[in-house]
Amino acid sequence: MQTVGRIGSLLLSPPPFLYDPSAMHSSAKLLVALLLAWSCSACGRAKAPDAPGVRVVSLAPSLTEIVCAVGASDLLVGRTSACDYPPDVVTNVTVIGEFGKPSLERLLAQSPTLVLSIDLADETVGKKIETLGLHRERIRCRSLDDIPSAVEKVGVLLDRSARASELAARIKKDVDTLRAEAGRLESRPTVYIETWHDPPWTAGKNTFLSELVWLAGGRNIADEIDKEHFQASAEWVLSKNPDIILCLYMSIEGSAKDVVLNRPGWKDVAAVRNGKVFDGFNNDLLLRPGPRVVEGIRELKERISQ
Amino acid sequence: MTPRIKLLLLVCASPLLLFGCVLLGASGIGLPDLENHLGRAILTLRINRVAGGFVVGAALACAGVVFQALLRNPLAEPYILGVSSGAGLGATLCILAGVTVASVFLLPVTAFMAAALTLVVVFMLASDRGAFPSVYSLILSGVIVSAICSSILMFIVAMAPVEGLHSVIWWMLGNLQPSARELLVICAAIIVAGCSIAWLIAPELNALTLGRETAHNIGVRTTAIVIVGLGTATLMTGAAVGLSGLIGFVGLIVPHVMRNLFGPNHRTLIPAAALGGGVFLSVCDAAARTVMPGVEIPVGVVTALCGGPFFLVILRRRNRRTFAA
Repeated sequence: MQTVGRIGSLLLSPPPFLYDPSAMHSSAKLLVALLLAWSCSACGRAKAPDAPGVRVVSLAPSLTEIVCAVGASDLLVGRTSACDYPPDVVTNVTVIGEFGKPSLERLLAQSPTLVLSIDLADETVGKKIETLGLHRERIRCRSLDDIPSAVEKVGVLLDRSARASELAARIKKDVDTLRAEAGRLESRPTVYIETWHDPPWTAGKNTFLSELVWLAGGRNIADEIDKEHFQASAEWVLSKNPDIILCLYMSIEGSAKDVVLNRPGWKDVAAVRNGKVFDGFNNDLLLRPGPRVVEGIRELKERISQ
Repeated sequence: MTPRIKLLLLVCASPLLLFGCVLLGASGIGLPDLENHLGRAILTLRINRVAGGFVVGAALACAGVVFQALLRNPLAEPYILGVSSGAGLGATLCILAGVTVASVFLLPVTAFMAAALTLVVVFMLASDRGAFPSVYSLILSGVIVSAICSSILMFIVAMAPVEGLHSVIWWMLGNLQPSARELLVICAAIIVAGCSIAWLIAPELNALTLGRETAHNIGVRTTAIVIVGLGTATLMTGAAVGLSGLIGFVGLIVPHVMRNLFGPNHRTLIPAAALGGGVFLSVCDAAARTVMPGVEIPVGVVTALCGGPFFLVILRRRNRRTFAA
């Protein structure tokens, strides 16, 4: 039980894809980082001439995508291991840690002038970055409407305003069109979103995913529960009898769909009976509030209206 | 009231309480609509879950009684010899290897085997040059093996990808919904057999609570009984852990509460603990799944929250009585 206690603190964290535990919390590590900061800034000053202008580090995959989409990929000097798009750009960019768990040492080694983070990143780490004298910018990116403003903000910070406002306007227009189309729908199939299979997790009211499902023409059954991400009870899902089940995870072996189909009692759910359990989505489009989100909604819409 | 009448009352009350648990669920209170398939599927889920809770609770409480008798230690519980850490390590490796999707039996069987293996290792470490281990060396080597397993587990957890980690944590918190009916039946069979063996050796357990030497002098074959007892209790615990993950507290608290209510005679204590533990866990789980409809709360949280204060009240009552006497 000791083990449970020790890692029990992870319990309160959101599901895997939003997972961002604190990276370092001992003051000893901070001290080391500070010492390193001092030495690095010293050597950084020495070779300053060959690195002029903005040097940006992105601490989230969605922000990396935005930076590249506004045409500032040449300014990107650091990313997280989760940043995998666009592939040809990110392979040349140094990894400074995991998503939500940046290594302060490696971050400083890139001598960035700007650190972009989202508000999911652990605040204590963010504070530490600021204490080290770096310019950190928090980009709010939680709901669909945040995306165009996030793009514009990144554009201003990186001096790529023209291209950014163009992209922001395009996303806005596409989302508005989708919203108008979705508003005209008379009936909506009920959708159960499964973000992890063991144990089953789902996304509730006011989540990004719930919003996407609505725009794609469905209605999230978990909208009635005022919690963001939670472990769903099997009985509750059965009693809601969803028309569609979306599996948004990669199953390590076999297809994600089979996991749902093999659960005891689930064969009577409408979605299972009518063969409307879907998997194989490009999860990066759906789980990442980035510039490619409209593609994600369209993909979802295709499946839901099938 | 004699312990026997109390036991009879418990036997009568248990089915009622279990039926009450079946009426509670995430989709509402009362029986689901049995006219359609979904309603029947929901009822099956609930019955399996209540049954799962009952056998796991019975196994842990019964194993707790046996461990407390054999180790003569009030802090003894089913996980004291490192069985939980061993099973946890096995389960974690199984989850992170990604084979759990292949068969629902793989994880429980691995956890069970790891639990049994841990006991063998602990026993071997504790027995000094072939001599039969003393209570203290058993507990100590249990703690050490447990610590080693935990640290390996922490290492794996630290290195593991985030997604698998999620499953590991939730497995450790315990879930009483059996992943397959067959699994429930197999574990229940092991647990019923275990409880029966524990009940059969109850007189010897009574003697052993006086100490191994005294028990030996009144004609108990102590070595055989200790081996049988530890083996049975571990197999029961392994089956419970395989079925539901790590659920704490039941194996420690229920034996103490039951000893207070039914007295120290193992002939009544073992069936009482089995029934009491089973009903207690089922009721806690019913609460865990009803408090926030749709959202699962780990049952371990509820057992500790309800059981803790209850245990304190009983302990205080006993202390006061002791002081008054």
